[in-house]
Amino acid sequence: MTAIDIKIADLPVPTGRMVKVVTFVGSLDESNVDEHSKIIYDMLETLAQAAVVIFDFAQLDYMNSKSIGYLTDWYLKISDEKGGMLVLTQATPGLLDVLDTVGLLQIVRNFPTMDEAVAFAST
Amino acid sequence: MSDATGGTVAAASPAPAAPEGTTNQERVISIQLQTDLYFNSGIRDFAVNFIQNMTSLSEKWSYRFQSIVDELCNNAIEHGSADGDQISVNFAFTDTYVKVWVDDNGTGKDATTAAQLTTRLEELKVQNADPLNVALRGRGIVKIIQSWTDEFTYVDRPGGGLRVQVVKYLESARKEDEEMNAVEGVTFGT
Repeated sequence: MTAIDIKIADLPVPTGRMVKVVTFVGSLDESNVDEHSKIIYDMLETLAQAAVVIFDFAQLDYMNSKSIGYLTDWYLKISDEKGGMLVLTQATPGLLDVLDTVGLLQIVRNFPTMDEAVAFAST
Repeated sequence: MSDATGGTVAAASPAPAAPEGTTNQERVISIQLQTDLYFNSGIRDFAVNFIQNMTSLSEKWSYRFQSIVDELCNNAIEHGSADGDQISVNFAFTDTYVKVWVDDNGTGKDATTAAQLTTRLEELKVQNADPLNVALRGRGIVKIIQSWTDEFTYVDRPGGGLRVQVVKYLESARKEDEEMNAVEGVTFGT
């Protein structure tokens, strides 16, 4: 199985809004995404209404098409079911290229830096 | 339409002539891969290095071929090959194009013909019109592979199984790079 490490942290913001930062280290591919997607789905179960979820892709080297399918499903669950927002930050040029190609960057916002993502989540 | 080996060609177009002073002599690297997803990260890394070291394509294309090769292998392993079988992953390059093809043996429980896949492809194109209206699977071939290659071909192999082949012409890749750089004002990786 390809290596992937997913860590979730709460980020306190002045508005009191729930903000979660999810850090991915490694690659998401056919060999690991089904198993590790459960980590995200478990988090979504506990997500408050109108929460902001920041996916930090700085150390995510690769996503295959099925992983992008999961990303789309997570986006829909956060926005449609929770009334919240999913944003990306620090995605590599290779990841941005593939996300743009499948049309996801028309829907999910990417911030070049974590500071910008946190500033957005704090408003 | 049939290819030279008697297989069915779902879609194909002839390779362009080599520009003056260049050659279209193909140099080929073939890899036999056990049908275990564990090996996919290795073949992805190979694809990146192949494009970077063997072709004049930009860095962007090494990462694009990383995805293309991964998706081709995933499909061959998931649909075309039984556990313990092997697929063949092949890389070829000339002065004018890069070609990748993946052969399976048709031993998988979901093995399909070139004609069936062509029909499925048309259905997926409709689904992909809305990026949110796509199932977990379905982006790989239509949005990733077809968007990034100039030719995409299914061939029924005479002995059983499928060959899925893609071709990218270096000239079209350069034009895409120029157009993207003109729009964004930056080069890939900066």
